[in-house]
Amino acid sequence: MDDAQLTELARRVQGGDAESFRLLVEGETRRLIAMAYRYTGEWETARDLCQETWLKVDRRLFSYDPERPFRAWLVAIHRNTCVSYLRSAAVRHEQPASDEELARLSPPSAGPDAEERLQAGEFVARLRTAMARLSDSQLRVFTLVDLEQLGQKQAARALEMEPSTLRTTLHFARKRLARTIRRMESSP
Amino acid sequence: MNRDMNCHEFLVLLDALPARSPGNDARDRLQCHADRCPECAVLLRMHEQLAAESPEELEARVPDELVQGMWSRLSPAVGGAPLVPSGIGRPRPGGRWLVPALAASVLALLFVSAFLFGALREAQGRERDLVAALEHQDVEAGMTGESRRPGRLTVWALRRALHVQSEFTPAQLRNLLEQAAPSLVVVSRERANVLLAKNFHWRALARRGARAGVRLEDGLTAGELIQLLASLGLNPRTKIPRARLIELLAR
Repeated sequence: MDDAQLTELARRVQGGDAESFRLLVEGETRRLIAMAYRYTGEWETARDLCQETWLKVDRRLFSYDPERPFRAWLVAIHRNTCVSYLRSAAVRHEQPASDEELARLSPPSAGPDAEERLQAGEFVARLRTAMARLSDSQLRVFTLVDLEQLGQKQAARALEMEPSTLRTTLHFARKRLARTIRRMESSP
Repeated sequence: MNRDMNCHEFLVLLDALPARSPGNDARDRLQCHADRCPECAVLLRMHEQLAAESPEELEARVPDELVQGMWSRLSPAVGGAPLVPSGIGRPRPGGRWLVPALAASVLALLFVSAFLFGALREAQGRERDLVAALEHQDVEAGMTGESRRPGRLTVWALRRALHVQSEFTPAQLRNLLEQAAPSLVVVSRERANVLLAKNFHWRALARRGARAGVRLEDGLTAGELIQLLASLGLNPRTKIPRARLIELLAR
């Protein structure tokens, strides 16, 4: 479904058409779950975050302006949901993750060898913990560019930020992550 | 030239690489620097780890049952049964008369609206004169801008104030509402019921309000609308379009 179709559906939902809301949910859920998975590394949690986002959309569609693209509005809400999860998950999980959890965190393409996959999972778990320690602006930039793999220009537009500011913020975010992960690796 | 790059050059090259398939030469140069710099080694690993799957590949891996089950998980919470039964969509006896009756109603409406349009133009002219006269009185009485006390704004003035800008942040809307007396009825019971009957979104809003102790179906005072807005937990940067507010506050 393209942006114009989504926006038209959202306009109809505002006009009271519940069926259009179902079409929106069915059209965009896969994308939202995939996006949340990058933040959580767990399908079930990604699904729960997606559900939370749709409930927020239902509550806030009142304030949506149909003159603006719906997908950008939806993704912004979903990103906030995912970032909040990331921060709260970092607070909850003070202790290191179990081997089983780490294996689950690693994508299957990370390597055929089980040991390699476990190491990759461990790295991703540390990365998520380190991300929660970034400042708000660093986290927003890093998640858009590196986690969601949006281009830098597109990310700058989405965040209403100068491209040069985005590059600098991204640079400091990456350096800070690298330092934090290094510290975690040296003191397991 | 086989000189090792510095950290800045490393980052520039890392950014310039296609995320998923760097050429062997570029990859070797990055690895060569990473072998000597532990922090850049972490950055290289991070880059490779995050680019391991494209968004499209990840979407294709989403388990189907999670996608298919989403609406059934959501439907009890959104767009539920109407708070005010509207009767719209029910089959009615004598449905064959519906089309001619509607056509006759439309014709009658056209005649009436042509007459009303003229009357409306006349009324608008009188309203403009009245506003000008009131503003003149205010200036004469020294009640301009900041000297107006809170609690003086009427519903009429509130509606007029909405026309000042095309969208409002929650804080701007709250400021506006705070200029009216908290007990001022801004949404009548009749208007609330019209909204609830026609649009499941307003019903969703009503459910939120009920949780915050505000009953939309009874109409809203300025104080209750402020409370309802607060219960929505809107982002402070949210822009609420004027059209939605006018729809809410319409007579």
